[in-house]
Amino acid sequence: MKEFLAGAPILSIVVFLPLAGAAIMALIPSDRTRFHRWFALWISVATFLLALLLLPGVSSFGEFSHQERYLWIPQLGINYHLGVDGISVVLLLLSALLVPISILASFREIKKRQKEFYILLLIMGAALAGTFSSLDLVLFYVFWEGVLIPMYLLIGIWGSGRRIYAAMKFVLYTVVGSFLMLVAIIGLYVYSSHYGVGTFDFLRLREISLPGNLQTWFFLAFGLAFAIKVPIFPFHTWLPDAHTEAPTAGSVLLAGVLLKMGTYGLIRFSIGLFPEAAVRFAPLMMGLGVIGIIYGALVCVAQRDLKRLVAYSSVAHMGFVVLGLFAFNVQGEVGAVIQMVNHGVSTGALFLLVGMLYARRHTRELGAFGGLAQPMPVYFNFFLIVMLSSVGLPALNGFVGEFLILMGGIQADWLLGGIAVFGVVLAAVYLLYMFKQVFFGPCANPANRQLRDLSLREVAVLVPLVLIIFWIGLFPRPCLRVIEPAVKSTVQRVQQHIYRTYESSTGSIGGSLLALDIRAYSLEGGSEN
Amino acid sequence: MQNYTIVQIGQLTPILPVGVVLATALVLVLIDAFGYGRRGTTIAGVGMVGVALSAIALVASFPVHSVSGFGGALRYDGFSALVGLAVLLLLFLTLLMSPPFLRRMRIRGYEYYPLLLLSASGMMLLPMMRELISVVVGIELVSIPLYILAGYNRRSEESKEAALKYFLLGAFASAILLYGAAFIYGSTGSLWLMGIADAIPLLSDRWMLLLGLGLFLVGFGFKVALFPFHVWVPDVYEGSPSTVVAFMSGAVKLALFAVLIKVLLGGFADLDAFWKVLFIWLSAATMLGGNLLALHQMSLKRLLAYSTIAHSGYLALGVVAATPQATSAMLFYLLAYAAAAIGVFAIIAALVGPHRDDVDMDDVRGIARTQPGVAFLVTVMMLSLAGIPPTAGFLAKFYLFWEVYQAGYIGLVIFAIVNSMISVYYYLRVIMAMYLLPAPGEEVPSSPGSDEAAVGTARVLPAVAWHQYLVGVVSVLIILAMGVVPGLLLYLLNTYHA
Repeated sequence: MKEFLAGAPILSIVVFLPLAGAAIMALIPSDRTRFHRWFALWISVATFLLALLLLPGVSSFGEFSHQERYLWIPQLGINYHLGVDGISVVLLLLSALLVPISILASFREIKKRQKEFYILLLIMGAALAGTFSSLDLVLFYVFWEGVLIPMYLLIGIWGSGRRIYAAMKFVLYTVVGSFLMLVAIIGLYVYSSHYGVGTFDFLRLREISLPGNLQTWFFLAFGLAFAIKVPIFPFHTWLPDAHTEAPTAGSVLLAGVLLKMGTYGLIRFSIGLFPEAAVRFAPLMMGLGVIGIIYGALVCVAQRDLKRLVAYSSVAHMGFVVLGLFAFNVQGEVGAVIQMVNHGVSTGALFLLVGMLYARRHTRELGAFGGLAQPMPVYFNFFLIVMLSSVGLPALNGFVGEFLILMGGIQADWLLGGIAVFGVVLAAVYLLYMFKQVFFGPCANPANRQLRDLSLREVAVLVPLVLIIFWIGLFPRPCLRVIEPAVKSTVQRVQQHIYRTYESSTGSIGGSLLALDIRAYSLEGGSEN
Repeated sequence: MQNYTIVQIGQLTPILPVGVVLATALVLVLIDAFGYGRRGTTIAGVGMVGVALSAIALVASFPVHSVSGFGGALRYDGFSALVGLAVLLLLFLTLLMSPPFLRRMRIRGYEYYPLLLLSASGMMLLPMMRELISVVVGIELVSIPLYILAGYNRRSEESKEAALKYFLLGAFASAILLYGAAFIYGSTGSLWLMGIADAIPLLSDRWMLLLGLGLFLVGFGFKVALFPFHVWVPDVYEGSPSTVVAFMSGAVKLALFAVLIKVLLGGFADLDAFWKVLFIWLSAATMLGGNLLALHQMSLKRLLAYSTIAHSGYLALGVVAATPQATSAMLFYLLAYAAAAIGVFAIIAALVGPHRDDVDMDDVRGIARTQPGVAFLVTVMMLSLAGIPPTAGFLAKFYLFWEVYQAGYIGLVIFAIVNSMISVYYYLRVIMAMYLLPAPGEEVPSSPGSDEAAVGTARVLPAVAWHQYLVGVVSVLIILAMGVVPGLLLYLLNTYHA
């Protein structure tokens, strides 16, 4: 079995199985909705199980494993090159898990054009898996853009209210970032061709040290694409609209996985390829992250629409991730990666819960609810756990990530880290307030008294996520063990690059101080872990 | 001295495919004259057979090494053969989709088919031309049949207007083109590109040559719709029969850009500083103008007209780069554009009503429900035009921008990318109308804050005939093949660049 697995192109199967499923579904008449639902579910579950097979092979030295490399368009230097390390594999698993969950969650909610809906979800799953496993920049770009149109249609067709506006805004924002990234990708190729053969291969590009000013431009071009996707503070305005108007499955995937494409891009490409520029921009990025934390939290406090509240809480949570990523120490980055997973699980679950409530009451106004603990005890318990995990209660997953990030953040910059701590407090404020509004007090509204509790299907949707919440919260060790080597090797690479520049430019005092600073952090980080 | 010997039989092989197309055109005229052309399908069918024969002849005589003929006025090489093949494919698809369209619009097809073939023969000849008078004559051979075809829908006022506008501005452009050629001849003493290239370094005073070249390029600018010379395009696209637009939007660009790059590289390489600066501004203005004007068009044909202008702008980038690799990238881009354009105009030709030869954005609302296959095809075409992977349009933009970047015009690439972002908006509007907006007569879900205003009743669209559907499918297959497995095509383009 093991020998068989060693040679099997699992990554390619994980990417293309959903596409094959979508192609089969396209051939089946659309009135067979039952078939479409269950077929999509089983395909995505199978994909998830296959993706689990990737775990044993992940390198414990931060190398890329499961690499597959074929010539694709040799004339343009584009290869089909897949591979995963600890960072990408957890995100790949997260997306592979959330796709079946959102499919199952949509069984009742989606009533029109079901065939197209499930086909689009599968295509999106494939594109997401490809995004997290591409090691060729053009291939990465292809998958990155592949997510765009399915999500556009998901929001636009099955969304609510101002869905068309939201969908268009989502696409235009994303396109602005990603097209500039394309120029930078071309630029990287042209630059690398000065060192022999030009390449789009990530593994080869990261060995090349680019001159400082070029790094700055490329960092900005890549960074803009990722910053819009994350979204980092001034680029976040597409998010509340898209999240609020999307159908539940769309919100879950948007918050759960699509936002991670941005942070994954930051750690993999922005930091991995342009370490010098990343360090130079670190204070700015950390600052923007902290602004996002505080701003997102403050908007949440004033928010009266449940789904919008959860959406804005994403801005705050992703601010933590950015803070951790640019702290440039092992705790911060490990925390950031694990927080990506946490946010995907917790916020995904929150969107599912809000969607279940919306399906019953057809409103998301906080004021319309109250006293729901009485008619819906099961729902109440699930909501409680998920909400507390989002707050960051110890023993639940949110705590692990936020704690590591704050530790790393305070080490890197005590002021910014200190401000970020207030974000945790604010998160408790708005989430507990929301919880109180929905569940406690008298159940005055007769419509609320009639509410059904969760069905078996809805419980089945939530249980896997709640299990993960507890698992990461109580035993983070296995998860950290997967992530840590990859993060360490990324951080080490940054330091090597900085050290090299420091050696070559002894004249610049600022640069040398910065380099020493970074090394000092890493030593502490290394000893504690 | 040029060599004016008698044409030898061996020199005719390169133009045999063109000869087949011309002969087929004459046969088509005769079929009609003898009364066998009542239904149009016979003429179209015979035309398709002729096109297929011509393609076979072309492949059989594919020039591995370039061949000169007619005293150097023609040079037949792999590049022009590839252009010729592409023109033949477009012509074939146009012939395939025309009969049901002409029937619905109640247009009798007497001269329609032969004129298409005549224009195509000019397009096949153009990339071989090595002499300015031949170039001008070739352009006329392409254009004059198209002037007639633009006005072929005789009962439609718009069609007449289109023909008149196209003819007047086209004739004007031809005059400027010829005027420029005269100045070039006056200063260099030669009409042969080789002769011009030889004469340029010896010239002490270049103003007359530059004036001539400038006028020549302005004439070209009219024909390929570069920005300040683009004003005829929207009206001509809107008024002309849709099948004619389907043919000319891709094929005219293909032939004219091919000959343009050959003329500039073959005859005026020493003046590249002059025409590169000219084309930097022309391409920037064309991209921006085309894209901005396309943003709020309601008529699909007008929208695509402005989009075609924008695509001319991107193509002009290739002229700026002007490396051999950039010409391959241009040809790839031209093929990607032509594939999408002929597909989308085929679908439009299938959806127009008997009284109006155009489709509005409102008309296609909800077509994803009534004709999902059509909506899917158009979506792929729009994504390709917008340059979203994994379509041909993405790879074409990628390849072209890559070559322009390597040629050192980074600012221009960034400008072009910004323009591509703008263009995504209006291509998405088409997808939005098809998928997101409710079909006419369908109940609008009234949710608070909903942004679907109740709109007037739109026309109920006819079902797409299989001819046009097939063209759409072929177009999408080409788009996807060029986007996902372009290996063979890229190999050919790299081997036989201009």
